[in-house]
Amino acid sequence: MGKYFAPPGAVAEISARRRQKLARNPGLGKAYLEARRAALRQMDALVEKAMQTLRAKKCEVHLAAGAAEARELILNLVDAPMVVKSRSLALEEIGVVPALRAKGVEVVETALGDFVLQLAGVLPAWHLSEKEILNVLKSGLGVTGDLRRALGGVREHLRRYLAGAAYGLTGANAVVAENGSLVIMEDEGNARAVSNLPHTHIAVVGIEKIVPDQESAMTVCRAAAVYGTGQDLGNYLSIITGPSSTGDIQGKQVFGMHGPRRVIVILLDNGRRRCLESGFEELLYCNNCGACLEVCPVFPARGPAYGHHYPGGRGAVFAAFTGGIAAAREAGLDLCQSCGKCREACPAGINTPELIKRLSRK
Amino acid sequence: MTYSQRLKQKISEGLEDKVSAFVRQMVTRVQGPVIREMIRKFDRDELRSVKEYAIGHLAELVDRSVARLQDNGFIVFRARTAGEAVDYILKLVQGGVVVKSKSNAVKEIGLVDALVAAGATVVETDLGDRICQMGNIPASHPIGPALHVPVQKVAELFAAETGQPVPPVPEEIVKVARETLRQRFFEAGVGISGANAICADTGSVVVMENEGNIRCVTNLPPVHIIVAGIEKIVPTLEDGIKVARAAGLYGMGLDFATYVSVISGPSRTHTVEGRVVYGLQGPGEVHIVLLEEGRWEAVKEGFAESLYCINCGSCLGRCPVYGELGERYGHKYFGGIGVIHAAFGSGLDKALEAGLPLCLGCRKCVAACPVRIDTPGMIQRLREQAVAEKGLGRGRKMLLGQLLNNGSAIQRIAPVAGGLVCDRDGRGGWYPRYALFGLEKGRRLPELSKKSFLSDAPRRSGKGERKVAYFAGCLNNLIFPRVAGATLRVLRNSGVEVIVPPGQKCCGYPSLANGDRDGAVRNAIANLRAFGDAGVEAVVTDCATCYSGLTGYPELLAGDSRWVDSAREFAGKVKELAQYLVETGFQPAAGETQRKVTYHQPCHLAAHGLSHGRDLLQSVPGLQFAPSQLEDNCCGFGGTFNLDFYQLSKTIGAHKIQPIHGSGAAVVVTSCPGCMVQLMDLLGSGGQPQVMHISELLAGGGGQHG
Repeated sequence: MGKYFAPPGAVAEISARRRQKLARNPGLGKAYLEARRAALRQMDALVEKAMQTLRAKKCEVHLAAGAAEARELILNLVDAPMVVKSRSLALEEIGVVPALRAKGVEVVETALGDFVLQLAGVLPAWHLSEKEILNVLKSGLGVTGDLRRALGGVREHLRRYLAGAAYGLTGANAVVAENGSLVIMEDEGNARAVSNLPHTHIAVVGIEKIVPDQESAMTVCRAAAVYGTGQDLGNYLSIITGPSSTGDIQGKQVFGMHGPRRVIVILLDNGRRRCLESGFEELLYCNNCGACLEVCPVFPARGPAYGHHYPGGRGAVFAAFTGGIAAAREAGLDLCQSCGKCREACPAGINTPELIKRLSRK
Repeated sequence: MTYSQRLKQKISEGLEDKVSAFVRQMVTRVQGPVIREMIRKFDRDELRSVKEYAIGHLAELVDRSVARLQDNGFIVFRARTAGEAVDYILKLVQGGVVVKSKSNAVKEIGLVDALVAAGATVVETDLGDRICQMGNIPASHPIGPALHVPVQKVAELFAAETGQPVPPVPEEIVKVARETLRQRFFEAGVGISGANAICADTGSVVVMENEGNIRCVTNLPPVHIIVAGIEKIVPTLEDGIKVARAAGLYGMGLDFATYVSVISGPSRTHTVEGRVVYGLQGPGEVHIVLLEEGRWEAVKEGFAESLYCINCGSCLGRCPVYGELGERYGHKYFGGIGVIHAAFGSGLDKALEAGLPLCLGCRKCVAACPVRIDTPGMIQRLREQAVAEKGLGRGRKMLLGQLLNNGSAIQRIAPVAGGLVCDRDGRGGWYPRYALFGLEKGRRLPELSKKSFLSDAPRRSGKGERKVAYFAGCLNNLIFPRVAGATLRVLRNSGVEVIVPPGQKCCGYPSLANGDRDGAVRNAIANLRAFGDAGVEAVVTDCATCYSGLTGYPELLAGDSRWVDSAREFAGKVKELAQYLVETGFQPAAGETQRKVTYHQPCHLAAHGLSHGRDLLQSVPGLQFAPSQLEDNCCGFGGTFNLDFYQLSKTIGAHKIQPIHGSGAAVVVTSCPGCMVQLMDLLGSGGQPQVMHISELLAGGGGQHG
């Protein structure tokens, strides 16, 4: 069931929208690349600054050297039978979902696609057709009718979990060092709920996502939206700067008014500094938009078998920094046909075939 | 300018509501220094140019953003009037629970009352607003509306709401409020919010907050309705973020508000078939009501600048009148900018009732504004319209045209006539026996001098390389010839030749402040004639208000090609006394050393960034300078404001008394005879501390140019 990538019709639709948006904003790719480069040039300083500003904003901050450390942090924090989460590659990277489940914690996916897959009990595939979604929802939730109605049923179903969860797990598209802000972009509104309704919000973010200022964060989000889904911007941008608070009773600041009273940010290194130090900086330009996957001749056939946490060739290369060259080969390092189409599609022009060659030579 | 009984009534209500005034002033006192520190690096010019561009291209931007918003799936309604906006929303809301967040635009159109009348249950979700709503309590502050409500009362309100005891502890109350409001969010059919900005390029709406209630209002109910004035539209997403940043900085003293949400349509996802389906975890239907009411009129009549306002509330924190009267000053939107809003949304009569005559012209709002909006300037122009429509009034005509008009018959007989209707206190104070010209009985006035300064001032005195012309101003001329004399002595003694041009008149500021532009122009031209061929390096004035008046001539005469050039040349030479002395390297000799001295900074110097008076004082050898808190707070004088609204004027000024006494100073020095009049009244006839003009202090000690 399902396909690893959208059928040609949907791809054509996204590319048409993307072309239209890029025609209005032709400098976007370049602006994105410059923003990334500028951030990576000062990564250590930005990590330090972000930790300081996040703390000043009353977030709890951890810098995790590896996936296991990040995972353990969360396992030790979560003392509830159920958590809700939104889609995040960083969460996948640290393998926290299976670890929580092994501990007996129910982990509820809240993005439609992920929820449906969870309901169907299948491993991450990429896309289900509308018909397949309806079938899963019918057998899993007992909702019937057209997609719109079925989605109403999903909404009600998930809302119970969102209302009852004590912990919400998310990633982030950017961390803004100057203000200590998390920036989360999405279309459905589930990440807003996950990051607003529970008492504690836990965000896991790769350190390459730290940018100096809000303007750079907006460039990152614009690029992710235009190249990812062909939209000017994702439907919801949440810029979160510290826990929810009010000072409305006699001027006393109290946390946890309507949103979380605790915001825990786990900044994840997990091989990223090694990337930077060993000349693979380009790898960290990735915005996870997926534009490369649309044009990759290998990916649609192989799906999750090509890549490791992060899909496709770029994921295979990154696997070398988290798990060594053997992990990279297992992730399909040798599958790349060096056609170079991914480089053309990438807003930052990441030359994945070249990275793969260099890695193979090492 | 006339003012309504309703305004008088609002003023007395405001003056009686001391608790809420205390809260507003306390917030300013606590938050003010934090904000001032944080905004130092903020680029106001950048934000101003964003707003200038946006309002300058408003029609085009409205069209562009409507198209983009619709592309994104918003249902856009352009409401020409508040009524249209309300009607549209009433068609969408059939009753049930409506959750709402704080919004000026929602308040502007009177939506809540209309919804309630239509059978809906409207629930405020900002904690402060909710407290006021539950207790039916008027708000005391735009951002912390319930700060004046005691914690016991808040606990009682929530206990009544839940039927459970609630301990009077903020943390416990917040827990209960979170839970009760959470239920409302889940049961609500509609969420209503405003917008901090609308970004035309991405078709997005920016909202900001600290509590997270707006995120709930805009995400949990199936329908979301946004109400926003068209002036909220900015060209780009980045501009929208700039607006949010400024509102956080200037409004709350936060470098970024806790939650800034950018919403680009209804909740949606894309299916593999390439279809967009709506209504996942967020609302499937989002309406945006773009409110035009009064905005186009403001642009058309030359008040586009009023639309630069981002509603951060920073100006209100610094406005002396708002500090006392709160929401009673303004109409729907508060303070001076609210008065302007009233003029275009509801007409000039409403603006008069909202407090058109109340602006003191202290310009503290301009200094506090992230966009540097010239609210006092716009108020002045509206006053001109009011005078054009309703006339100046007989008493005011006599005051501005006769009493302040040098050489007039009334001016000559006033000291005698005044003496007949006032009691003397023997220390230069008069107490009027009757209410005349708005002078209330029981107040202390400085005695009018028997002989005006200009009637026998030396035309030319002193010798030296430097040569200046002296502008005396009405108050020195009529009340404080001794100050004018001291100023001449200081200048002469330091080797400056001083001429006092005959034929000089009132600077015109009082006329302008009263909406009598023609009178101000007449005075300006008379003064340009009088000073025209003086051949001096500077025109020195020792009155802060006159400094404002005289340096404003180029703007006043901008439309008059015969005079505008000489106005520019003249204004370029105008110097405030202390400014002139400091800039020419004046070194005060030993002066007052026995008594401690404190300083009061006149608003009309602060507004121009001048603080030479204070610097000069501190450079007097041996002088014991005792700074007092709130040194640059307005004394509340405001010229004719003091006559029209004496109680309000005195209440504003009264905040200075304690800090001045607290400084332990025996002398209060200032650089404005207007402030002197007020300080002498405030500090009473006891004569302690003594109120003195800086020239009097310097004349005692002498000094010379280095």
